[in-house]
Amino acid sequence: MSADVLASAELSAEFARWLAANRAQATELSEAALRPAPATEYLAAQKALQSWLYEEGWLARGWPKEYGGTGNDVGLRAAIYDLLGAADIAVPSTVNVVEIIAPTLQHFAPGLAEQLLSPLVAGAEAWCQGFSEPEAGSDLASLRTRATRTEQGWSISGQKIWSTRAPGADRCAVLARTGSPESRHRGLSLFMVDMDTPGVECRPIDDMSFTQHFGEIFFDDVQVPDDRRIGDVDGGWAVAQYLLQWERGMFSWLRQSALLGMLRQLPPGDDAGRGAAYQDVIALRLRSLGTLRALAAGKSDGPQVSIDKLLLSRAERSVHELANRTRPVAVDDGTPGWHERRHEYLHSRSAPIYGGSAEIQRTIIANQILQLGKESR
Amino acid sequence: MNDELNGMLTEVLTDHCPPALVEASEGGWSEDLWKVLESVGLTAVGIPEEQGGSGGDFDDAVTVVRAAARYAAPVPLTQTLLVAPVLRDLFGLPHRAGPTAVAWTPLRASAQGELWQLTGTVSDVAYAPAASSVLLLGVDDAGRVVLAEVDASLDWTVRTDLAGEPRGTAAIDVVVPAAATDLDLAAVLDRARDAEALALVWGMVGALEKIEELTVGHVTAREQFGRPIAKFQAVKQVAAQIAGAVAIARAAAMEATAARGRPDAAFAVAAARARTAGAGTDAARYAHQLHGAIGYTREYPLHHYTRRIWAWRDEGRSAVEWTELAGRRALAGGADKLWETITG
Repeated sequence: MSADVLASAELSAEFARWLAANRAQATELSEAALRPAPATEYLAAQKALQSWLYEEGWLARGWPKEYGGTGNDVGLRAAIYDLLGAADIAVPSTVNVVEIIAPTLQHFAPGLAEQLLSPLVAGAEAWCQGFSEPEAGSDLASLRTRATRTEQGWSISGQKIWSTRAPGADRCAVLARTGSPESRHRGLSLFMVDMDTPGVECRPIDDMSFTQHFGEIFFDDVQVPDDRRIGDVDGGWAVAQYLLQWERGMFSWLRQSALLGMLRQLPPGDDAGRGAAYQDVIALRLRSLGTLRALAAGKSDGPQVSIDKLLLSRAERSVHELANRTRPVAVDDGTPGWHERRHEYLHSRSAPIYGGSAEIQRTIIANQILQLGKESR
Repeated sequence: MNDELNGMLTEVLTDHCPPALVEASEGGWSEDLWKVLESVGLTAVGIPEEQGGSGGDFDDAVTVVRAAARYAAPVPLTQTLLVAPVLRDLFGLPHRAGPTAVAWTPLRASAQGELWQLTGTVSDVAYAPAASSVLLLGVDDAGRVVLAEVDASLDWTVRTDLAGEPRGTAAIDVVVPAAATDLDLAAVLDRARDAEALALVWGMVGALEKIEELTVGHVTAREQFGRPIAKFQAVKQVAAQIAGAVAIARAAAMEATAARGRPDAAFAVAAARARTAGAGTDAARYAHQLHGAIGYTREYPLHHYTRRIWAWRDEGRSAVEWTELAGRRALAGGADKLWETITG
């Protein structure tokens, strides 16, 4: 039996007791993790917070015992993220990636999960995913990075881009073409590639929010054993779809908690805007709660999670525009935190773009939920 | 618009203000670009020749500011061409050549014989580290307002703003010549803020025109699903929203310019500033949406324009304040004039 996505009274009380004894360190590590910084420095701050919260037990709960956890329980993990958010403690952004890749490995490659996941859950390693390519963004099924059969396994060549947290990552889940160039989504497979394999090169990308949140990865005849394949050969699209519901579902849950925290901390003013932003976040929270309960029960909601992503984009915009109105980031006023606030504001601009743009989400809703049929060409 | 002047600006700025220069000037400014613009007289457009300027009228000065914004030129043309001259005229100070900064924080003023002592701190002065002179406002114990133009080589603490433009804060304690006015501080600030608002409105129009151009270029060149993304209805409609926002901003700016000297001039400026803020917010959002991740990188120039929109939108007074001000100014003429003000 799994815990509910909302924390029980016992769990909340236990968390409150822990927080009372550890507030100073929690705040210090959390603030460091939120600070905009170059890729490696930023990643180190995430791992420091993640491994501390793991050692304190909070980020170990709800993961299978085989990877150093207390037993698999998605609801318990979601409840803990919500408790952390409600206490204004950042959930390290490396956890976003854990919540995307770990459930996917559990589902499609349990052997690999048992072999690789412990250091990821513990915050000793950080991973990334390699999906988008320069010519395959919204049109992911057109990707060209190629995996070719060799005697030992596979050889991967190609280029990935917009890979979040790729610089400094230890491993990358790479979606590659194993079918013919025209096979589109029917000819893709997913592989777990170690970033220190010869032929892998990763460069950070400077972004407009003055950080390096993503990177580009080049693969030149990279040798990958067949036991690093996640799911069936040419079955990568189904794996990616499974993965994306975690990327959109759990991430939305993580963000609603953070956005409620932002709303709490804003200076007074603009009551009407505050009410509107609050409604947007609550709509996201309620929707996301249902999605997380379904994920926790092992039920797949499939394309429904596109609605969560759209609600998330809207909530991000409402809250950050409100924050900017009540305390404009236009000019560095010399108070502490301006660089963080500038980064948050600029970063919020990317919400309707990352993880599948708002246009793509709406197309999924129209085609797959409403069954309206594809746009004619 | 003066086509000859605009053509010259396009030529000079294309050659001397490439994206790499804008990127390299983040948090600072380009003295090289200023010198080039100065050498062809573009840093004194709209200032009469007999005062040492390049001649031309207000519309010409607007043309320069709008073109500079289309290139995100990291130089203080807004302050130098459109704000400083209004303040100097208000106090009868002579024109002074060179990049000019305007300090908005009023200082404490006291007469020292023929001179004035000005003390206090001026904060967030745009382009202060770039300026050769800075305009300082002071108020004495009797509420009298004075203006002094002093050498800008002060001990500036430099910060940056969202647009990447430099801002300076400095402690002031000077004894200098200054000119006085009969207007009170609120009236002086209103006039100067209105001049700045009109300048920012035109700057935003220039930046928005570039945002539209970049977006149209991107959606026609970028291919996904085997065709340019501009072929998708969803993309076309978002692009059309940008065109609408840019048209609104341009119309509001033209109306505010046309209203100069009319009784409803102050209303038109406030309305234009509020309207342009909304149009800028929308267009910037849609442009990023259509550019996707590419537009989010430092390497691609879109952010230089969208960050300027977000920064200029909130410069001086926020859109909320300008909206309230537009309302108060519309009502100022009384009930009989209201319909005429809104529809006229």
